[in-house]
Amino acid sequence: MSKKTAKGASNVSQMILSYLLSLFLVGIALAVVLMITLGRAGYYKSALQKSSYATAVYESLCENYESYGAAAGFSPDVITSFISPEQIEVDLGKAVDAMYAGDISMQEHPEIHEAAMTTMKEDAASRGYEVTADVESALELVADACQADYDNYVCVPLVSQMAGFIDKMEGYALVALIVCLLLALVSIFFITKPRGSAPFKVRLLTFSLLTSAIVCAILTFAAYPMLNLGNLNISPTSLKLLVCNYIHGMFTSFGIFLGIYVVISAALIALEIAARRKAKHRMSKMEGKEV
Amino acid sequence: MTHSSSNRSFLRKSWAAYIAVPILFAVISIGALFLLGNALLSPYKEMVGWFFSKSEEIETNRDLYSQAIADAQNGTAAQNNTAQTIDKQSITYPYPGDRYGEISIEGTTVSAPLYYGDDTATLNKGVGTFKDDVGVGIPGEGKTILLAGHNNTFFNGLQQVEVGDIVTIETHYGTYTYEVTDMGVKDYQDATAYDFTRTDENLIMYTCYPFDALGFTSDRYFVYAKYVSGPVLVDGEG
Repeated sequence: MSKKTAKGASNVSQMILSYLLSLFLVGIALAVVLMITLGRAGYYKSALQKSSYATAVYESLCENYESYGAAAGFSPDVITSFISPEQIEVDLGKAVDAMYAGDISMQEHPEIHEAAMTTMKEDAASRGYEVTADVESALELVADACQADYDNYVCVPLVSQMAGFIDKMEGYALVALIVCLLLALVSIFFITKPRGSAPFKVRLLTFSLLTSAIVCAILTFAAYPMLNLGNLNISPTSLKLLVCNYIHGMFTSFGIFLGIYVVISAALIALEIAARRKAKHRMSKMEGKEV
Repeated sequence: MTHSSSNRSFLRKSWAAYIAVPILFAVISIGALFLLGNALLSPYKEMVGWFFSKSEEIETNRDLYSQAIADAQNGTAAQNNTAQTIDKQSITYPYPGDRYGEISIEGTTVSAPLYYGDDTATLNKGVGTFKDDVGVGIPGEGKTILLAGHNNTFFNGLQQVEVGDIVTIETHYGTYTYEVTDMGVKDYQDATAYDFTRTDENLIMYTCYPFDALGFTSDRYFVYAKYVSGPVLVDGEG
């Protein structure tokens, strides 16, 4: 092979390596994003908070409790006095923590049953009713219904689907992260190792970083609008909002890597500019000496 | 300068390479990702599409009764409320959650909005109409009309009902009257409390019992009434 052909082939292979490095960098970003979103209970809790899921659950529970109160002889104010959106948010958080700990069973809230009984007995007594054993049994049925509704509503939406998916994704994400990291290091080694122009090697690395930054930018800003999740046909609205917020947050997390890759690229470009200035200065010095 | 050396110079020296090369690489990556995603997800396309399918928009929780009153006042009412028969296709059949009338019983405090369906939200707003059986219907259909209301709110006045009292149901398509024939207390699981196989129009109203009970009880207070007057809903005539 002639020197020119060999050099050309080496350039092509280095460009291919640069391209592959960009893929591995995107792979690293994807794996880390999955780990910090899907893999974290805190992320799910923040999505619940952003979609005001607890408030929607509270309103649904109040509607049910109001009906129970109308059938059981208690005013809406009394029968809804022992629940609050804040407590529901805390209980939802506990349910999320339980799911991430591997427990997908429905969380029970016997404290709701107790609170309902206490509230109803106090209200009955204040209205001059005697709470006999028969009345207490009848109130137990109301408290049971209140707790059953609370247990059913205050739970992680799509818990069994989420738990299975999270389990799988966590495993894949970790493997993907390790594999992409290793392959990225190998690519960087093969880009920088061979004999050749150092500035070109730096350029190749910068090409990879900028490519990854572009892909991360598309994922951060353009991917979510393209999904058109506003047209999702699921109800209730609070669940749809939760899904949209959850997925939107995942895409915007790519912004972290967009920032990292842009900063490193800028540093490498600045390095090239400094090197060129130095070379130019050296050249003009040498020309000055010759004269 | 040869073509290949100018290429090398572009890659190694030109600032434009910092834009051209990453864009080219990104286009290749996204194109490949798109093709791969398409190949992997095509078995699930239909399932995913179902989640995005827009079912026909149905307006719910309409107030057909108030609209009919407003139309009557404006002179734009379509229905002749004194007619003896009405073409069923010409009326707006209520959807679950729609308010379609008003119920009142003379001599009692019963006066409440009437809704189609009897879920929790409906019973919080008024009297609900049971709809989950082919043997039940709305006034004029010639079937059993089963109405439910809470004992502490809209149907508290049922305790004042006596045999012979007239129940008036005003709907958005006509006014109906029924005469109370019987009352009784039965268990909520007692299947003899109602008969959905009847083909004569009859009205059953029920609520929890006792009226001043605290908590849930298993008894229900039933009030039975026979049809007296009101337009009959017929298919394809009127």
